[in-house]
Amino acid sequence: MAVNSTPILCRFQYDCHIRLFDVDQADDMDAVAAKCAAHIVGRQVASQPDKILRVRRTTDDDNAPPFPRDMTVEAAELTRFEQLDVYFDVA
Amino acid sequence: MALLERSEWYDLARTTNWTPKYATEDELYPADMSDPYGISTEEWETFDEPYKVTFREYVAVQREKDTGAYSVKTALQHSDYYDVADPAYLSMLKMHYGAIALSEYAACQPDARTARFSKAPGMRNMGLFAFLDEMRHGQIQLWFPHALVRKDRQFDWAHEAQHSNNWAVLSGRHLMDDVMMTRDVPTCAIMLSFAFETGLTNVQLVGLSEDAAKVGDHTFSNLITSIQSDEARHAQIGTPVIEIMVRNGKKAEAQQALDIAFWRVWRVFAILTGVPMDYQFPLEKRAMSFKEYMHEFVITQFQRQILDVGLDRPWYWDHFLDDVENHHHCQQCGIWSWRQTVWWNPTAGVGPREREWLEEKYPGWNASFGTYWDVVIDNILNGRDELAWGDSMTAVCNMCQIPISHRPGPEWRARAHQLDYEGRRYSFCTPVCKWIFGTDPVRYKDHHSIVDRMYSGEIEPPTFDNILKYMGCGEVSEGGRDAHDYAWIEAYRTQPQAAE
Amino acid sequence: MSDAPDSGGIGDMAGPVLRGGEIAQAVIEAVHTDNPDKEIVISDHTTYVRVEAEGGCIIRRDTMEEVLGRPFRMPELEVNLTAFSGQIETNDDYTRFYLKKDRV
Repeated sequence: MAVNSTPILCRFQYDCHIRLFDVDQADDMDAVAAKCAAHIVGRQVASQPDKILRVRRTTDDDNAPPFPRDMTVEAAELTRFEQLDVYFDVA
Repeated sequence: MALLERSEWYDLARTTNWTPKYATEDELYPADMSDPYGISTEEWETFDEPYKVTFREYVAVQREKDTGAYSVKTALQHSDYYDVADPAYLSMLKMHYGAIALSEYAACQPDARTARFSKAPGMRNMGLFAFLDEMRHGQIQLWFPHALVRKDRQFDWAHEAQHSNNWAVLSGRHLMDDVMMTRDVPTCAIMLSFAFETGLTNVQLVGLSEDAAKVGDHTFSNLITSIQSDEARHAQIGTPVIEIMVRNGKKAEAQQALDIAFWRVWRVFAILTGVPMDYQFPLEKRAMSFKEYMHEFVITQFQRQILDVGLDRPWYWDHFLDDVENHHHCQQCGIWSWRQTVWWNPTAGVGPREREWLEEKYPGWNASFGTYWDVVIDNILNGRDELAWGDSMTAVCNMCQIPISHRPGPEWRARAHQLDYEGRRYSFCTPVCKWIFGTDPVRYKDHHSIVDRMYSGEIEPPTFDNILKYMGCGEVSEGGRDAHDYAWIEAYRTQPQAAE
Repeated sequence: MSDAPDSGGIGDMAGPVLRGGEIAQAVIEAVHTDNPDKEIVISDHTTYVRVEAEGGCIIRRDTMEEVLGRPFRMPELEVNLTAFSGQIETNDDYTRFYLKKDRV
C-alpha cells in the first residue's frame, strides 16, 4: 500500500457486499467513485449510463449530504476503513 | 446373564469426587478452568446426566455405529457414484469435509477439558464419551474423503483446509476458538453442547443427510446421521449445567453465553448448510428449503428447549429471523462471484426453474438477489466471462470474519456496523456481531481479519493475487471455478425472458 | 415472522427423531401402545422420522421387545436416535421425552 493511500469501505448502491478499496489522498470524489465502480458496475450491479455517481459518508439515517465532486480525499479527511456510500444520481 | 441393571449401580459408580489432601480444591479445580461463577461443589454434584451411558454400553453402541457406517462405505466403494455425481454435489462434500473434519478433531480438546476439570462427576463421564465421539468424527471424516483424493485433487482440502489461512477457514477457526477452545468448562457446556450441538447441528446433519440420500449418496447420508446420533447424546452436557446456573443466580451469565454462541455458530452454519440446501442440490432432489429446516429444527424445536431449561430467546431473535431470510443468499452471491477464493467449485444454482423455486420459498428473492444474478447472467450470456468474477476484496466482519453483506437491489441493506476501540476501527456485519465484541473487547481486540492482514504487512504487497496465494488457493490445490462450467446458462438462451 | 411470534407459537411437542429403518418402525408402533391417551404425530421423511406428542411421550423396553420379537436394551435406541425435541430421560426400562413445564 502506498503511503499516500487510504483503505475505505465502499457501500455501493444496490450491491450485496461492502467492498474494500484503496484511494489516494489526491483523488477527488469522482475519482473515488470511479475506482469503486470499476470493480462493481457491470459485474454485480447494473450500469446506469445516464446517471452519475456521488459519494457521501455512511450514516445511520442515510441522509449525509454528498461531498462536492471535486473535493479530495485529503480535504474530506477520510480515515482508514471509513465507510462511504457511493450512489447513482441524476447528471 | 446375572448383570445388574444399570440403575442399580450407576449412581454409586458415578460418585467419584473426593476430598483432596495434597492440593487444595482450588488447585485441583482452578476457577478459570472449572467454574468462574463460584457455584459450590455440592451444587455441581447434583449434575444428573439426562442421557445416561455406561462405558460398556458406550463401546457396544459405538462399535455398532462404526460397523454400520464403514460397511455402507465398503459396500458402495466399487460403485461409480462419485464418478457420475453432479459436480455441485461433490462441491458440497468438499466444502463439508474441509470445514468440518479437523474442527471435530479439535473438539476433543474442550471435551477432554470437561473430563478433567468439571466439578461434576457425571459431567466428567459425559465429557470423556464426547471426547471419544469427536475423535471418531475427526477420523471418519478424514478417511471417507481420503478415498476421493485420487479422483479429484480438491478433496485434499479435507485435511489441508484447517492448516491454511483461507478466509472461510479463518471464519470457522475464530468461531471454534471462541466457543470451545478458550472457554471454561461450564461456559463451554452452554456454548458448545447447548447452543452448537443441541441447537444447530441437527440442521446440518439430519437435514443434509436427507438431501444426500435423495441424490443417492447413501455413504455420506449414513455417515452424518451416525455422527449426529453421538451429538444427540453428548449435547446433553449443556442442559443440566444451565439448570444449575439458573438455580444458583447465574441466569444472566448463562443467557449471555447462549446468546454469543448461538449467533456465532448460526453465522457459519448458514453457509455450510444453507448454501448446499438452496443452491447446490439439484432442484428435483431437494426435500425442503433451508428456511423450512430452520423452522422445524431450530426456530421451533430448539426455541422450545431454550425456554424449557429456563432461559429466554436471545435478545436479537428478530435479527436472527431476518438473517434466516438473507444471510446464506448473500454468501451464495459472494462465494460464487469470488469462487477462486474457495476450495470447491461453487454452483450458481440460479437457472430459470431454480429462481422460480427460490421465489416461492423466499418471496421477494427475484426483486433483490435476482437483480445481482441478472447482471452475472447477462455477462455470461454475452461471453463476458472476465466480468463474471469478483476481482477485488470485500470488507469482512471483525467478529464472524465473513464478508459483510445484506440484501442487494432496491432495498440496498448491506452496511458495516463500526466501532473505534483503542485507536483501531473495527467493522461488523450486524449489530449482533458488534454486540458480541462489546461483551469482552479485551478478548477479541487483537485478532486480525484477513483485511487487517492486508494492511499489517502480513500479506505484502496486498494484491489480489497475493491474497489468493496467502489463502492457499492454487497452493494447496486449485481454487474454485463454476461447478458446471456455465452449462446452466443454456436454459436462458431458450428462455431469454427469464433473465429479465 | 408469523411462525414464532412468541413462546406460545411453538407448541409443546416432544419426542424422538430417528433414522428410518427397523427401529424407527418399532418405535412408531411402541409409542402408540405406550402413550394410549396421546395423539402421536409422525412426520416421515426420507432418512428420518419425527415422532412427537404434546408434552412428550414414553417408549418402554417391554413394548419394544414385544414389537421387535427379540430382547432389546434401551441404549440400543441411541444408534438410531439422531435428535429429539424436548428433554430426555434414559432408564433401564424406558426412555422418556418431555418438557419440564408439562411432565408426562
